[in-house]
Amino acid sequence: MTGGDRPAGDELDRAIAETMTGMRRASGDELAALGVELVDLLDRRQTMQDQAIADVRRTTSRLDLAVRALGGAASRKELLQRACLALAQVCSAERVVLSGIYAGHAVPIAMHDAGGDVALPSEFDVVPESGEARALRSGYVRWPTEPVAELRSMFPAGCSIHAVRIDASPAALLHVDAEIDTVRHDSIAVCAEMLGACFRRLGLVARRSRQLELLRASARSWTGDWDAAALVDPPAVGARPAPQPVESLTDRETEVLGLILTGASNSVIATELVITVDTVKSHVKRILRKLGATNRSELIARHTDVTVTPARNRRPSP
Amino acid sequence: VVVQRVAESEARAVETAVVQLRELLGPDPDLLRLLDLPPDLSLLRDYLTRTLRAGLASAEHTRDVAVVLERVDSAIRDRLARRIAASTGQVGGLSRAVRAIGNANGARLSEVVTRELCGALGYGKAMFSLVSGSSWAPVAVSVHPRLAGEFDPFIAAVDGHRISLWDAPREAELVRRRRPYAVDRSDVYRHTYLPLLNLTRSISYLAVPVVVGERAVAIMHVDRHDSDIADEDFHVVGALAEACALATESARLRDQIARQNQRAESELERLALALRDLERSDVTLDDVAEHAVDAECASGESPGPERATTLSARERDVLALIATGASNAAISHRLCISDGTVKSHLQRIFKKLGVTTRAEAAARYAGYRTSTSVSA
Repeated sequence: MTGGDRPAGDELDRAIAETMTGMRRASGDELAALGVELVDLLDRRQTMQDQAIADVRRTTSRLDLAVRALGGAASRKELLQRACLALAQVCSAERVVLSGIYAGHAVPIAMHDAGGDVALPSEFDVVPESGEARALRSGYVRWPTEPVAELRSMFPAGCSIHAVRIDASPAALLHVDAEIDTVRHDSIAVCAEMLGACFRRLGLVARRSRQLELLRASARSWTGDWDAAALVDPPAVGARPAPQPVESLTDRETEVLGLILTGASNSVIATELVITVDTVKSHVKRILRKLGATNRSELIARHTDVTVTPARNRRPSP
Repeated sequence: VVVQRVAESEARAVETAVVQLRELLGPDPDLLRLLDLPPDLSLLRDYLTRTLRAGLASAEHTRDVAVVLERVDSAIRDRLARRIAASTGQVGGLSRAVRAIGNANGARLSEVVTRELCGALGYGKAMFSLVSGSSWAPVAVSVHPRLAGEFDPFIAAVDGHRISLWDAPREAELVRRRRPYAVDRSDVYRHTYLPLLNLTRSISYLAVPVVVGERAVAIMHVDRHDSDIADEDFHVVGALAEACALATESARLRDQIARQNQRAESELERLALALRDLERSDVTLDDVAEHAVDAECASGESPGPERATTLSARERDVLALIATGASNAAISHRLCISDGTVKSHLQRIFKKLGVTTRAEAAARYAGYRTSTSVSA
């Protein structure tokens, strides 16, 4: 990205040096004119550098967006779609092909094409010593590399090839058709790493539900009974933070908390305590903040595990 | 004090230039005003270009002013070139850092992250803190090799002790909104957590949350030690935070799978023992009594659990997640199903449990869990 600026930059450097030399000999009006010329040249050079900075900023911003898009993908389908698009955007590529690797055999599973109507290429073997084989061995081969015969029509001008790994083992190949400088190349490498990490997460999610399914099925098969709840714990989402000590709630707040823990809605609480719904809302807001919870369900999850507040007993019975 | 330390070399350059210019141009009011402001190369450059464009009273001074301008300009260019090189290098460092994070096992993640931030990504100092409930706890720290030995008190202070979010308004805001923030020289002392900040002697730093399942589970703090945080840093550290979130999720899933297997295995062992005992030991009068008790239990009414067991396996998964306070988006992400599917599960669950709000469902589920764990 900075590479293209180089010749123009050199020319400017030369012109600036010449102006400085000229000023050594000049005098009077000529000297003043050279001074203005120098300022113009320096300003032009600064503008160029500002552009280079804007370029770097754009690149990192695109990369950040791409990485977030990958991390936020909820399913395999979504991930594959986003991956190709994200890569195309990160390095301004026209075409990106993602192929799964199955024991030396590659199956194209997703692609991005700026033009639109191109069908997925057919499966291909990873031929020893091909660009694909080298990419699988070393992580990537740089642009311009000739792809396998099956992909040649899609990448007439060559491509760069990147391996996607899950942990240490290669899982997929990326063919990208952009003419690539170091920054773009590095950006693709980041995306390839992230893609591997996303594959791993999805794989583990699938394994986890298969595990639960296996346990449920086996419990069913032993007893012929459907109720396997006793054997299998529900999956926990995110961190189940250790319950915090109830942090200086006022008496009234403790009372409200007690009602929240029963699953009561704001209006039910309002009726129960004979206060307005708005007052209830402000109590709830304060309680959530004090206890560091984001919603009432979380509050319930945290508090029914351990602490049952005395408020339950203190609550006035109408 | 801090600002002066940072810009020391720049400040010296500005000062020398201004002194020289005063000798050349006399007490020009614009020039004198520069002396009142904090030393700034860009302001000086602006002044010099303005002066040259306007033309000097004595043309012969043009030459000397031009030399000063050229020097100031090249100092600015050097600074920007360093910044470009640093950011470009960071993109390369990022893929190494992401790989290292992916390979780290859960417990060492915090150390690997801070090491990579100061190594592959070239930050001055990096700190990793875990967030839990209404507090946060710095657990790992690194400093760039060139600063080694200068920040031992800071490193010693990062010992995992908990800090209330009440005492750190900026961190509280970050956890609540799940957004990064940066402070620069002008507001580095405003609402920041001074006990740590004073030890880092940062002039500007960036804090980025690690968000898992819509919750900020950790915070990464970084600074460049002697220069400001730029927009690029938000993106670079933000991308790294996403990698951390993925690694955390993967580590948790692995852990869940392992624990479940352990539980299943010990359960199987116990079951095998109990079954063997059942088969081999002699029948006694006790058996008759026990069996009678069991039969009584089985016919006993307990509406809570019965209700919940009519839920399908998937509905039970969804209910368990609702009960943790997860949003629909978090559930869809967690179970790899679409938002619409979550909603339809939710409707069926509400209907089956006879509730109308998530909080009610959560309360019901919590009650069910406690009652079963008590009876088990």
